[in-house]
Amino acid sequence: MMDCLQAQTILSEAIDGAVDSDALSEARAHCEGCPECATFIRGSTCCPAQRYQEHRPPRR
Amino acid sequence: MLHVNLRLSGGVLEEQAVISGALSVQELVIAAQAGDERAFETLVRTHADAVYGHALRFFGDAASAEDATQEVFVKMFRSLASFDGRSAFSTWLFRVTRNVCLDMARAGARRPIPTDPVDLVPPSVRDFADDVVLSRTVETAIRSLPPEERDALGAVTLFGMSYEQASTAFDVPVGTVKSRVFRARRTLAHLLEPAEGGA
Repeated sequence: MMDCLQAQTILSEAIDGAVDSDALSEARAHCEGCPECATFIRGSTCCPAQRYQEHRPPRR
Repeated sequence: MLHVNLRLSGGVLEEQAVISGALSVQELVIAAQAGDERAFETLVRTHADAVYGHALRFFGDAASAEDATQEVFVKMFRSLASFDGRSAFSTWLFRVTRNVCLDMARAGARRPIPTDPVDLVPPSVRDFADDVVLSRTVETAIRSLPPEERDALGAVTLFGMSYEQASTAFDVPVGTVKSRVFRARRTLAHLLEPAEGGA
């Protein structure tokens, strides 16, 4: 059975690249009923700046 | 738009070798090394946000980040010929960017503004509907991360480096990069948890 640390680690890796699909499915299943992991998912995916790539370009 | 006040010393080639937009980064680098000014400018445009983003997170103020960005591309112009392609261009540019920021801080010309997570005001649900406010909050939260976590997150998310490339850039095992990026995200998730409940 996957725990929070394992699930969040896999989700983090999934944001950055491909991970094993079975492991990702298991991580998602874990997160469906886990408030702690739901917080992690929200913080990682819920906003336009989720991937922290939106930057104002320099003015000059 | 970033304007880099540089001119290639050899002038514009008789034949511009490329239509820059259609080329890969690797091809752009090769063309820029051969003196293609448009290729160099495309490289600058392509990477300006990542460089500026790293500098902004390092210094915490826009003016210093702009100065650092300018300096990075001056260095890129001067030393691109020494880039041998053994590492990814993003890895090389990340190193240049990090070194420029560190050098500027060491020289005392610009000092990073400290950010304490205690000072971070958790975003409200309303903030999540405002990209500008939220982006500012996210950036403040990122600045409060330990530098090694902030750098790892930036290498992967700003510069698009793989864990393996980041591992090379930081000279640490891949697992360490994964761990730093994950810890950064976990900390951010808690810092950015809306104060008024779920988003």
